[in-house]
Amino acid sequence: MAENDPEMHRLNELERRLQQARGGRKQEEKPASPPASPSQMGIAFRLVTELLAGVIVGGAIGWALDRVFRTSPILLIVCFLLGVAAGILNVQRVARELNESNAGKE
Amino acid sequence: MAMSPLEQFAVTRIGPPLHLFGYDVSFTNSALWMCIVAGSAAVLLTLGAAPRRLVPNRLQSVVEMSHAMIGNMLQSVCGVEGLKYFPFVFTVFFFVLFANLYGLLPLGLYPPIGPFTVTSHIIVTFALAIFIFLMVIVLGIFRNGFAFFRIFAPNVPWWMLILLVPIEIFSFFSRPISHSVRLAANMMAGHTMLNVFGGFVVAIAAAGGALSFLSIGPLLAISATSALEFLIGFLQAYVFAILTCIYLNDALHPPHH
Repeated sequence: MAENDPEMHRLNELERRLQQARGGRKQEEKPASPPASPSQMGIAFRLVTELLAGVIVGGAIGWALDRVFRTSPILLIVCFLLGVAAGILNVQRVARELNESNAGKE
Repeated sequence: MAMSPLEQFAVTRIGPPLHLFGYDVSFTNSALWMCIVAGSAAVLLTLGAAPRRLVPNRLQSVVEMSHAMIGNMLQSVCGVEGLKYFPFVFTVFFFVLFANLYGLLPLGLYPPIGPFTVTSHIIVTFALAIFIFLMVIVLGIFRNGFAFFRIFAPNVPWWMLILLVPIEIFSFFSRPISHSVRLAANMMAGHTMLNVFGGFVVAIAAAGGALSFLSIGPLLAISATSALEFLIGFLQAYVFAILTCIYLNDALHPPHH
């Protein structure tokens, strides 16, 4: 799939030629650092939006399905609870990601 | 100048009213600012890169550094295959960045123009986010076929899947919401705060008397907040772009649980 993609082939070729051209000089590439670590408020805000987004999507989908199937309010309740779970899952993922990037720094 | 701090977000019509299929499609100040943002970003970046000097001047090195920054970001998140989508991510990043920064121009001092932050409107950021979301789905199915749907199935015993697959689906659908709300809310909160402080300056000075010198306090707060807003404007553009990369990565390499 990706291996016989002509553009990927060109990219690999370019990479090889770049390596050759750089061969004589010493490598002083340093990995790009992200511009600034987000502030505490930024982190808090990110977590809150993740949680809220799950709840909003769950509630909205449940409400819409209820309107379609005329089963109000069963699907609203079920989907809202699933949405809350999804929001918590999102928060947990972001927190894990932040933990990993913190661990990398120290 | 007794304006509501939210008045800066008003969308007003410029030019003649236009209607298409029953929708109001008149040209607005929001549309004008989007044209300015996209146009000036394109002109600045093209002009900066055009001379191709071996020893870059300042503008060219800014353009080169931003190329390198986005390229590294894309490569570290999506691998080498992600570089195909470099033009897209680069465009998204610069549109958001320029929109955030143009919003900080103190144009409120010149009434006919008026400040406007395109990205403070959730419909603009949501349109961007939903486009990225749909692109990830289409791209993921196109590249991986049915295997793309494995992102909904974490590696757990089958009876847990009954509960976890719907949760994963809701989590997936909440992405464009959190992606867009974060940017719009950050921009809107910052700009409202600046305007509220501005209102304090005027109100305290207008109250007069011996205490009117106290209006220097909110004025200093505006200076500090403006500096912070520049940081937030850049950081939010960066976060928007890196989340775009993370979502693209799901389409390119669906996780093999």
